[in-house]
Amino acid sequence: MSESQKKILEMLGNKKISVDEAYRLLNALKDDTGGSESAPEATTRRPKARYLRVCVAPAQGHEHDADAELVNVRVPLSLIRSGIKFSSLLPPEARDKVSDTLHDKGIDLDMRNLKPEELEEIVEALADLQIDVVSDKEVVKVFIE
Amino acid sequence: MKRPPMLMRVRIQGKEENVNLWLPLFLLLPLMALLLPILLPLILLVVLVSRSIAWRRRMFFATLRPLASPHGIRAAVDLLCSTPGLQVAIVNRKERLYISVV
Repeated sequence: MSESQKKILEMLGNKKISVDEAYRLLNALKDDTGGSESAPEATTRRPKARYLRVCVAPAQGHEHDADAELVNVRVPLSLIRSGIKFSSLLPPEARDKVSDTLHDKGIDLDMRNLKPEELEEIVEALADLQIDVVSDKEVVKVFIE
Repeated sequence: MKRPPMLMRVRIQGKEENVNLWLPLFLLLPLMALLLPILLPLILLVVLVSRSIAWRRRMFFATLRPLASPHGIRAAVDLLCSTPGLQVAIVNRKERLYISVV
């Protein structure tokens, strides 16, 4: 409850204003705060993240190499959400096997720790994700759009 | 509201071959949904009589049980309906591969 709202209710309690006047003042206050709150919201509001993009391109000077490869993958974030929910249905033995296989490939992702309840937090955290890996031969970019 | 994928485009351009497939998923998926109840008993029979290691059979049934539940079916449908928008493009000297789901 804001200070202004408290003051209005105190004035109502002390019978300095009537119920109708208090109601009108509280509504006017709500309109004012609603207007001022929406302005910063409009400036900070960003388009909802929809896709995870992974782009791999050869580094400058290596575009014409024999093994140069261009990879462009666009994955809908809803697919990632659904995939995590779906993976929660896997039996524990299968999840352990998947985690072990990922670990062998150098990916430290434990399937047992992925919980559908924490999904929205993960996807929201991904919205700010931007990874740029530059090596001698290639450039890898992972970002959300 | 999510909708199931309608079309899948697969394009492979190589030095010798050129493949351009438009798969009408809006026809294939209902067909698969109709065939699955017919094929499932056959698949189960093959799994039961096969000489696979016992743990593989156990894993198969342990995986099938939750997936065959209403929750599992809903999750599978949700996964399928999230595929529109998926795009994969891989280009190298030998060939180009494009996959997109609409």
